[in-house]
Amino acid sequence: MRTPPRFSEWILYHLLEKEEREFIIGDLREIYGQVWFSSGNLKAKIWYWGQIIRSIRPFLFNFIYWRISMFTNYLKLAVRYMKRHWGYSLINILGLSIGMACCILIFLWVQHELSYDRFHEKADDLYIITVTSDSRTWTSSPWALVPTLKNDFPEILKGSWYGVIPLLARYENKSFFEDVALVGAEFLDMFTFPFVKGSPEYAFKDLNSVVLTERTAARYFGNEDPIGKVIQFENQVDLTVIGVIEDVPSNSHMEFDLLVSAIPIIGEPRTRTWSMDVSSYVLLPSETDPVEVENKISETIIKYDKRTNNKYYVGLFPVKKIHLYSFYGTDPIVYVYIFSLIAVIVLLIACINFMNLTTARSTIRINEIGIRKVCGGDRKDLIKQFLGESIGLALVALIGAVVLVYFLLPGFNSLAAKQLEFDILNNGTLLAGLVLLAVFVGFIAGSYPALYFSSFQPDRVLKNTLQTGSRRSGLRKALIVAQFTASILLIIATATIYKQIQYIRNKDLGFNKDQILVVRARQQLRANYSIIKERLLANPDVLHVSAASSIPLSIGNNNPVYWEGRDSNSYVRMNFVCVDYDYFETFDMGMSYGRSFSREYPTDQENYIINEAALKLTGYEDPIGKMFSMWKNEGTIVGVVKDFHGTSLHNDIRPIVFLMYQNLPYSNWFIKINGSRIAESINFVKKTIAAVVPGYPVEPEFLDEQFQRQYINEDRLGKILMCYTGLAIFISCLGLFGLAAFMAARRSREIAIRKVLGASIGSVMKILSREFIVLIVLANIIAWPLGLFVMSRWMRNFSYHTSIGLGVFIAAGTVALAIALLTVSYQTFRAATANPADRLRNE
Amino acid sequence: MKILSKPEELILLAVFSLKDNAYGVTIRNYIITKTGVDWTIGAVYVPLNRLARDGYLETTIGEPTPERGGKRKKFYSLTHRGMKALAFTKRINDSMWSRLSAMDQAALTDKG
Repeated sequence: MRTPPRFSEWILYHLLEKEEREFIIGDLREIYGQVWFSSGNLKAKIWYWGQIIRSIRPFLFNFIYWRISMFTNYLKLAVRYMKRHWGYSLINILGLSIGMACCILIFLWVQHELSYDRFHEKADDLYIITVTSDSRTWTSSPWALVPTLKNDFPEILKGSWYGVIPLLARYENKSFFEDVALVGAEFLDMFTFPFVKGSPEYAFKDLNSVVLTERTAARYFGNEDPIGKVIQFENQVDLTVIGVIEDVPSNSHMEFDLLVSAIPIIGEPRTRTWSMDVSSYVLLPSETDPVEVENKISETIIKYDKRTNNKYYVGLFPVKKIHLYSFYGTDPIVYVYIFSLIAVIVLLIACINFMNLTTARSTIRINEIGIRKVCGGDRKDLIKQFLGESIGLALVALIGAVVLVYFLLPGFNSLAAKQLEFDILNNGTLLAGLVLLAVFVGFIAGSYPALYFSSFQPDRVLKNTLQTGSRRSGLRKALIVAQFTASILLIIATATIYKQIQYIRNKDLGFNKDQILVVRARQQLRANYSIIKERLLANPDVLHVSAASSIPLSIGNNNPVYWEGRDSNSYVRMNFVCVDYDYFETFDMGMSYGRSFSREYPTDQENYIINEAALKLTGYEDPIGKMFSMWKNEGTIVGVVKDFHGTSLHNDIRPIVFLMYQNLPYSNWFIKINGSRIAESINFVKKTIAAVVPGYPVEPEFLDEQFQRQYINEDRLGKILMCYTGLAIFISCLGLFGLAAFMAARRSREIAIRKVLGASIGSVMKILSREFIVLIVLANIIAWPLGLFVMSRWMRNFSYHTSIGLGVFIAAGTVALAIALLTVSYQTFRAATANPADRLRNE
Repeated sequence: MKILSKPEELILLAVFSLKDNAYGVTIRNYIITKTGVDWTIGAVYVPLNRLARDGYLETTIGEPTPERGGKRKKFYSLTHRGMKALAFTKRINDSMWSRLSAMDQAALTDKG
């Protein structure tokens, strides 16, 4: 054939400027034809290829030269516009910076949340043992389970206990309470906690060894070498330090100060019991299917533990998922989604801002666009130019965002209760991610302006007949509406969450949680409870002292119960609390029937008090004196306590049984104090306990504080949401401010004529503001139903919740409107007070 | 006035002497014949375009022909600026050559 080789022509095609392609390729075909005639096909081909190869260098230089000169031209004009309209440019970049900074912060947080427990080398194959009974699942399992599983099932490669208890540790004259993790021999073979000193091989094979974290080691030994030193626990057990590990990373669900073998602390016999008060972890071979293993091990407890008829099923749960998924209630991963969504919304608002401001200023650049088109720039070139420009601006905004993040991170950390780090220089993926984010944002934000600008007809642009006024501003208005819809939504969400938190704080729980000190009583203290109680009550500031097996905020233990007339085939479990005398008095809990436990009735040791919910279940009309039993101890009901919230308000009130069980040591002591001298009272409690049982200091805590802690997630969500709402509104206002300025400028002639004809400043401002009021009202109309929908979904998390109320919506709408008007008013006022002569002089 | 490079000078001269038939193929052929060196297309077209862009040459678009695969020709002709540049170059050349003594010129002719 007489056409040149296709591939070589393709190369040439792409090397050439598009204006030259046709002529040069045509010329070459002509010459090719001549060569073909004189020398034949093969030679012609070789000749053509030779031509192309030897021409690549000059053509390529030419090509690059033109790219660079066009680029410098684009850059020059962009910089010129930025300089001339620096106010707009600043608003534009600032908005993007804030939006990106929000995104980066949330991204850091999400990254940290998702990284939990992935630092273990064998993270994929580690599982925590779960126990399920009565469709409730928990992670406490029996001590004897791990050794049994390892013995019975070869699939269980390794297994270990893990339970953290506070223990008093002493080295020479230094003693502190430490969170001590009781573990099994294989713990460090399963989990990756790198050693700084010593070696993991020897850890826990010798039962009397202890492994410290770096921080703990520093606390006891300073700069000394801790290896081989002996630490005494609870004044009884001596253990030798055989290693120091790095501090537990913040993204570990396990938190402890030091690791010890469980056996010397709790005694070997206990590790053979089936009482469920430790967590167990196992390592499976990576190729096995955990479901298969789960099916095999499921009935292990039923097989060995013959004490009860309860069906306890053993299960496996991946360690990697522990942090983000829970067995009941809301999975924390929901918060990851919520925060990500908020970040995206704020970023979108910033992008919309950018689009709005850029397109609103189209008149400024309209001549440039016209000239470019006339000189042969086609639509593609213009799109490339404007996209490139917005990506460039986004990259500049990224620098601003990075600076912002550096300043905001400490505050954000305290809000989110994290220690996030922002180290872009050492984190290549983060840096790459950020640049990608900026490019993406620039692309999104620049796409509409690019398409919009490039669509101008050059002749109409240059003849000044192009409509850039109200007809083209429909989309801009829609964008403003979208921005404010998002802002109003965020306001509604924040307000509702605050209302709910407020509701929880002030809700009558059915008992008085104020001025009650809680002391977590350690083993050694419990025996001396009576003496301490007596001494505490000697102080007139101490009003009541009582004790119980659990605090009223988390009554969770349950047991099967029996009462007269209950269908003996059915099986009912109720929550229970073992309490001391004065329990109901301490908490101001009212009785609806009967009396509370009293020393005057010695048989009360075997009697029961139930709550109203439990009464409902029993169906007793007159409960007093009726038979009731738990643990097969028959007794009678002596009282019914009014319902109170024994767990967080996420849950309904469940039936609760109260009993006195003197042999069971009460681990929680409650001291009701007179609120007038709090510090002295706390000191008094500490001193009294220390005087009776020296060497075991206590840290009393207010019940109220523990109560607040139950709602820490909601509290945090509320605070973060509030910050983001503020930012979202700020960014929206930046956009509005710019747009208002633009609109005022566009209508300056109209305003001037109105003023000449006698319009007052007020009436001009009204005319200018009206447009915006309509937009904000529209945004409200969209945001309200959306807000109602989303927030009622969220409220469903709580069994007890406040109503959302119209007030929240009206307040959100009013706030948005007020802020918007305030933002616009500066521009409208300036426009309305301008001297009309200045404007009309040049007409 | 800018001094033309040798390829630019040769191309302008080629366009000038080819008159109405000056387009890529003829220009290149003319230069190859006159210099006896094979000029690649890149070596011709890059300076040719630059000259056109800088206003030394103006272009007119011709008709497509079948031997060109239906592609059109771009004809070049000298602008006033191009003429001036050639005249300037010739003046420099002449003045530099004329500075050589007759003996020197004879020696050069012997080498050629």
